[in-house]
Amino acid sequence: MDIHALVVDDSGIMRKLVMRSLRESKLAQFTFEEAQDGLDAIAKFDESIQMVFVDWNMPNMSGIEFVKKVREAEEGHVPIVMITTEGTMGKVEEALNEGGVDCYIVKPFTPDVLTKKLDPLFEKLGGANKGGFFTKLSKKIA
Amino acid sequence: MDSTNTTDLSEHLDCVPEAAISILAATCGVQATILTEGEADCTDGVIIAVISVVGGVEWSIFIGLPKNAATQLAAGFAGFEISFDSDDMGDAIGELANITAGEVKKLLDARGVHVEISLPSVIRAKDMRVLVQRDLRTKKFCFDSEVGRFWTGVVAGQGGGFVG
Repeated sequence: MDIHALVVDDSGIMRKLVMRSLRESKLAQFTFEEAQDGLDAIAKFDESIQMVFVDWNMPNMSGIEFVKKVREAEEGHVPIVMITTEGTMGKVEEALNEGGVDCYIVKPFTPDVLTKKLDPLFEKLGGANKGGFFTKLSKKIA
Repeated sequence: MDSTNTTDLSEHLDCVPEAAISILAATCGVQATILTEGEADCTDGVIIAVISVVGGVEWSIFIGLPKNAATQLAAGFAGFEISFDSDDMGDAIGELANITAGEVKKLLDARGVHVEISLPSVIRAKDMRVLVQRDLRTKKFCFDSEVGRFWTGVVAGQGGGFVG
């Protein structure tokens, strides 16, 4: 499956681990340390980003702020996966209900768990929604 | 019940070693046990990750890993060898501390104690001794495992403290 994913995590080792897991799912990735850089990349790449992976706790801009900015700007609905140590029910509910996160994965995780959680999102991407999530998004974020 | 006693280390402190043992088993496949006495040998080098916990309790949690333990745990976590002196080592141990603190937060939350955790800071040094001020509420747990000994420490109280 030819899907372009954006990975935003301040931890270099976590970016590598997520990338390695995604590579097994044949996703092409763009990785960023800072949330703002991720937003800039979305603006730059426009329609080519089809799935986003983001950490919650990051310096300068939190993952949940990042997700809200993407949700405010998008016209379609890009699947966003949050990978975080925040495992309390309150945080999970905040991310899924208020933040607009599609999939929530608590660290530590294994590549198998990641793949299983992503399967439903891949199925959606295989349908009519594939591509075009960020149409005009670049203009809104820029 | 939400705890308001932010300096009493005796309450809920068991969450820290419990989290450390379970997370190292889950992430690195390493089984650790608490030692009743003894120290970790840090003469070859040590890496220490620090995370603050604020809210129902006010703690600084330290995880100290001698070079050999750090190298093996980081490799188990990442799935590839990581040099002790590399940037990846700091990232890996910081992330292990982050995940451990997340587990502490979850355990505290289940007891009605709600906290937030900071991002990790990581210090790498050679032949570092751990000196704990006597006027602070502190607790240190030393562990034994197949990757050698390591430790976690907790400093509680207002105004912070120093473990170096």
